[in-house]
Amino acid sequence: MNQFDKAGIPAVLVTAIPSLAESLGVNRIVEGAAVTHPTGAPELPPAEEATYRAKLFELAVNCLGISVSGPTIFTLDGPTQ
Amino acid sequence: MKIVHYLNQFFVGLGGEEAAGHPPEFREGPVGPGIRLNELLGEAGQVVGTIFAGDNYFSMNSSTSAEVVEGLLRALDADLLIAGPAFNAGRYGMACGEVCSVAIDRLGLPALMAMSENNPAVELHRAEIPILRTSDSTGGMGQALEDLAAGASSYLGSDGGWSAASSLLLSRGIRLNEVSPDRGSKRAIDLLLSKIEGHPCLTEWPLPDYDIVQPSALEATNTEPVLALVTEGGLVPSGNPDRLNSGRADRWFRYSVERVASLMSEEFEVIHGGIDTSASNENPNWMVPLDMARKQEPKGGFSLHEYVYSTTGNQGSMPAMRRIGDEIAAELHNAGVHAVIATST
Repeated sequence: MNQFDKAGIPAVLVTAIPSLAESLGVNRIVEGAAVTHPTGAPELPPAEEATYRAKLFELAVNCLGISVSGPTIFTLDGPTQ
Repeated sequence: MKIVHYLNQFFVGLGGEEAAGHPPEFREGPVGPGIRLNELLGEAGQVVGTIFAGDNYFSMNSSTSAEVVEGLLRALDADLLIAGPAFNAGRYGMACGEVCSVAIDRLGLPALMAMSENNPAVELHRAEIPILRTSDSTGGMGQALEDLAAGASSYLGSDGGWSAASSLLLSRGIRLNEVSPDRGSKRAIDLLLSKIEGHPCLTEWPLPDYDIVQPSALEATNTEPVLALVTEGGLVPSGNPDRLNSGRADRWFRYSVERVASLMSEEFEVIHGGIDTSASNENPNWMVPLDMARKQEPKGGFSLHEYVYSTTGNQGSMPAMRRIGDEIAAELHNAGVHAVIATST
């Protein structure tokens, strides 16, 4: 991840273990759903699942445009625990 | 004991960049820094010959150069090859690495090279070739030659191992098991007491050297920024035609998603060896969010790059992952990609 930032390409990492990404110095981190399926929530009913994923992706896109000064974790207020 | 020395065009006195196109050549006995090295070796060994080449020639004709070097080494029947010191000179370091690889892989001839840890050849060769640590610049030549002589002497005096010289060598990134007379709890307390007493506190488990990187900002563009999807989740086309590793990956692949609206489970799968892949295999978009990216592309203020990039992070070594990251970043940069959304397990 850090190699993208080094190359001048802002990057966001969607991961279920934000603290690990933070300790590795990843600058933009979005908390994903689960280790085995970071961008999906199979336990939710299909309609809610689609909404959750749409919001998660939107958050990832949005935080690319947000200026950060170091490792920053972005989370959805939304559903999954 | 017979030692062959490898140097570049500069250190044999041919010249700098203007002589960098010089093809590989051989001279009897030590040359340049090899003369001092030979003195320092004393009884332990003798520099019987010096192979040298221009750095540009070697890097641009590496297979030809390797063949010439192989032929010379075969004729010499030496006991050890020493290459460098190359300090932080990238092309010279790469040539040293090639020469040592030829010796070790093709002839079974032991080899030792010397350079700075920052030399790009280190990451490429550290697992296979013993590398003696030097300073970044030629100012450290005296020390480097003393260390080379000490390292080579201890190797030649041993029964075929580098362990006696290990304090002079860069870590090979290989962890060797050894049996300790004391159990872990005692060793931990001994270490703590040693630290409290102000003695050196040498950990048995050095932490990896994580790097701190300045965050980049999205470049202002006239058109919509181009966004690429990247994953370390091991996404591959069904059947894994390129044989991406499920762990300890040393490679990455890109897969075209041009005009693909969604990653269908009939066409893609996830081969990451460290997780239960059943959910992601049921819906690969849960690993790489292509379907959401496509849905949001029309109004999201971005356009999607034509490829997704995939490797496997499972049990990945930091140097390999860094290299893979660098390679993907270089490709994205050249392709005009402005931003990345990556997913990890």
